[in-house]
Amino acid sequence: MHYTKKVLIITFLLCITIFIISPFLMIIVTSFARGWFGKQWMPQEWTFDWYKWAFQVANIGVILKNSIIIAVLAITMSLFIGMATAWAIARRPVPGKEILFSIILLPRMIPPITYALGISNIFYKLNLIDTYLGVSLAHVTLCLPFGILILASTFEGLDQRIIEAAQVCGASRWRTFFHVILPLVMPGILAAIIFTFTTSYNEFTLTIMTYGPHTVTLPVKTYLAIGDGYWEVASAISTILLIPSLIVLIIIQRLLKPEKIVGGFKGV
Amino acid sequence: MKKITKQSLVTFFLLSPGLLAIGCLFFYPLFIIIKNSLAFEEEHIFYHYIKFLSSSNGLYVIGLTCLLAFGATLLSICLSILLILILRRKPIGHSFFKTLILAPITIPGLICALGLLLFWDKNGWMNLVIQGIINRPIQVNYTIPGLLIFYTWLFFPYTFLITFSQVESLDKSIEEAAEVVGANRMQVLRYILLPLAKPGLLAGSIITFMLCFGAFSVPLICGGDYRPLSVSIYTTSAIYNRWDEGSAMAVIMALIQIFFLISYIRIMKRTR
Amino acid sequence: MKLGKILYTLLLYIITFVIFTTFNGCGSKEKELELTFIDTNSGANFQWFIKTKVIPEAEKTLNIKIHYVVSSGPEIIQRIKTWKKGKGDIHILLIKPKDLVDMLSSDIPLETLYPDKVDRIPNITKCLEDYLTSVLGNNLNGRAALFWRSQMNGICNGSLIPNPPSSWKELYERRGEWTGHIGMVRPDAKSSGGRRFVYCFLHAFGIDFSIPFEELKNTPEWDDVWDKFKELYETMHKPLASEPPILFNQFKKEDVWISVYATDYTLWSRDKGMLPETTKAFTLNDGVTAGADAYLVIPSFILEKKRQAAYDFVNFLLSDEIQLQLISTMWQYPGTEIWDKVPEHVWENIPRWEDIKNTRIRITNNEAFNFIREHTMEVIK
Repeated sequence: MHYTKKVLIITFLLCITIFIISPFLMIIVTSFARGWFGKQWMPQEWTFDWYKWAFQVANIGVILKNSIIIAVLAITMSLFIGMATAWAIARRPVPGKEILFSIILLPRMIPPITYALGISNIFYKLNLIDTYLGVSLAHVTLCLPFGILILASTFEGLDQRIIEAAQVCGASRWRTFFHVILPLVMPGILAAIIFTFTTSYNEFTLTIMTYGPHTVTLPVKTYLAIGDGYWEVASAISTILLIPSLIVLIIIQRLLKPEKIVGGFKGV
Repeated sequence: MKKITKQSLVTFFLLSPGLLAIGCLFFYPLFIIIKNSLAFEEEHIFYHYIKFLSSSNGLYVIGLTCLLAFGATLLSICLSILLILILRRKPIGHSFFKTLILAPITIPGLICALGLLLFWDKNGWMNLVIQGIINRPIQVNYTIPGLLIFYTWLFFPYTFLITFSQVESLDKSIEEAAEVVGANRMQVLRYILLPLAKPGLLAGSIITFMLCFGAFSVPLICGGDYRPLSVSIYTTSAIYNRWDEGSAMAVIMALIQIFFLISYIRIMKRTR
Repeated sequence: MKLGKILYTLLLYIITFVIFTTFNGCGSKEKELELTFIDTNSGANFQWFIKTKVIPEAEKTLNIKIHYVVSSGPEIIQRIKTWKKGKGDIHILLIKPKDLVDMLSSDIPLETLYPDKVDRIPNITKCLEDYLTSVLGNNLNGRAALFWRSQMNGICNGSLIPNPPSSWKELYERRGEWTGHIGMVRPDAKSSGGRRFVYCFLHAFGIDFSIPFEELKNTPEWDDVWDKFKELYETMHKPLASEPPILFNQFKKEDVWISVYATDYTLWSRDKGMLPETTKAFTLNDGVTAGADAYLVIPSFILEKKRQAAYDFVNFLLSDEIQLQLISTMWQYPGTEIWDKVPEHVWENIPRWEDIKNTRIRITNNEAFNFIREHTMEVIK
């Protein structure tokens, strides 16, 4: 009885594992396959052509660069803007803190497609469409609430007594900041960086309303490849795209609390 | 008194960049959409709303979106409970499993969608297995059950992770105490575990629900003939170039979402 | 601090990567003459062709450097409008007829290539004059050169349909033979393939698109023909493909055996191993629409030196060598009249130009085309 139960549990977990992993395996196999049409488990002919295509024609290198530039801009802006606000929310008496917080989180609660229309409308007038600044500003809408959320909870965790102790010991304001506060909040800031990076890197809805030929990001390229290219090439692009995502996944699992990420839903 | 005003001024100063950014990037666009959705030149100012809501297609689209969102949320809750019951006992490979569940969250939704489409395709691996059993392929892609599977696959980790982190922190002794007193497994589940996990389940499932309701990239690719609100908004405005109608639909979508959110939060407060 | 270390290294990598790529862009040699070639017409297949075949060859023979950029027509037109004399940074464009008309109507100055520059671009004389003097009913006056002519045709899986129909009427009558296996892209997709499918069908069953749409939609024939289309739709594979790759996927799975789609794209995909080897094209003699023809234009507001190089490049693109590659490897009808040089095996793959040139339909009724895009799915439900 006990034995069969154990087997059942393991089979169940194995099934779920297969269900989660297989789509990715299928993408990877498709990206190397040629003429894989019929009812076959594996393709008969293997090829690197789709990768060559991804680099030569789909310009995956340029697109990767776009994605990273936009993500870095979005992270920088969100952190700069978010830092002060998060500090105020966490460590200063603010009337109606809960309401303020829900206002800040509102962009994450309402489907992005609803206000994406408005953003693209405004950006068209300001000539921000198809610029790095424009696309990353659009990303800030989603990254900022997330950044503030994480930073505020980090700042809240700062112990006032430590700061006071440093000052009692004769440390100057700058010294306190650099040698006491900064090391204490660094993990929180890094967490914010990672999570805002995932948000920006995966963001699709706002990007598709503000992008142009010079600011194609990786998710948009995947969409274009699925929508009017070939699925083989789309698979190759996706396989390349998977690598940064996997690195982030490992970082999150190893070094941060995975539960935290659920506060920042990926770009749906 | 003077000092307090100075302090609050500093607070205000610190708060302003964040609020300004949210105001410019979120509330102003929202305002523009509301303005666009109103028909000033038509006989009725809510012309586009009425047109959309009174058409059979409009109600169908809203119904479809809700069906998908509720269905997928329900499935996610069931799957999460099942997994939590198993993983609570820390079987072999449970930490690997927790990493695995992060995959649908950190990997861009479009890649997941492509993978799912390939995997559940008529010639995909899943159907090869099924054909081995019942000798004919089943159509999963571009059907409602298929979409429900895809949504669940993509969004259940949110429910699972939140609930799991909460259940993990619970005291095991309560459960053991119940068993000592003579409660059977079902009773422990029904009277101890579920009530304890309930807040976590609610908080997690609301996120899953919100994501399912607003999902865009997945139905855009995998929807086939089923086009929920988000895709309809996109096609109406960006492809047909009827921005006023699209805006009206967007406002309706936002209102429905807010309505669901408020009712959800009410339920959550009551259970506490 | 393990977390910090890993992240710092990562950050360092990213910064190096960004710096490297930026410098790589700036560091290219300025000595060679550089041209910017914007492409707003090519699909995935032609992007591949131009990027990997045409550009390297042109750079070698003409001794210039060419930046190949894929972009969208309306966006480029907006950009060119703001140019001042001699400040233009796009030297050659490959565009669709529709965008060309937009360019002409927004008074963007373009170089007159025919007949003014015949001595610089001798190959342009091989293009049919008709295509150089007018485009979609507008006066072109030789301000563009024709690079290719795109054509939709019937496509089918030869092993499943050995004797494809020869007309729309036959397709309609024999629809029962292929119930559940006729494919089409949704008319409201980004791709215009589905819209063109419906347009041709309506045309073949006697809709006269020269009548203004407001009148046309009230004629009894209009309703009749939609009833016929609904009958055809009943036998189609459902759900309709939301975009062309899905149609291709249905072909691969043998869910779809027959459809009407761009010839070049389909056959080239077959050659690349992305469609079954038995895929072939056939004509429908009651008319199939043209795809997007490709025009080459040179804007006037560019430096004299670059303009001269641009002429050479256009001449190179119209040379027999490239034009023959177009038809024999890409299965696209060339812009120049070089039919006698085309190798015979080509005609085993694609229908002869003589067979289609007289039945080629051009989309003239834009309102009707828009109606098809926005309402077909409602009408057939």
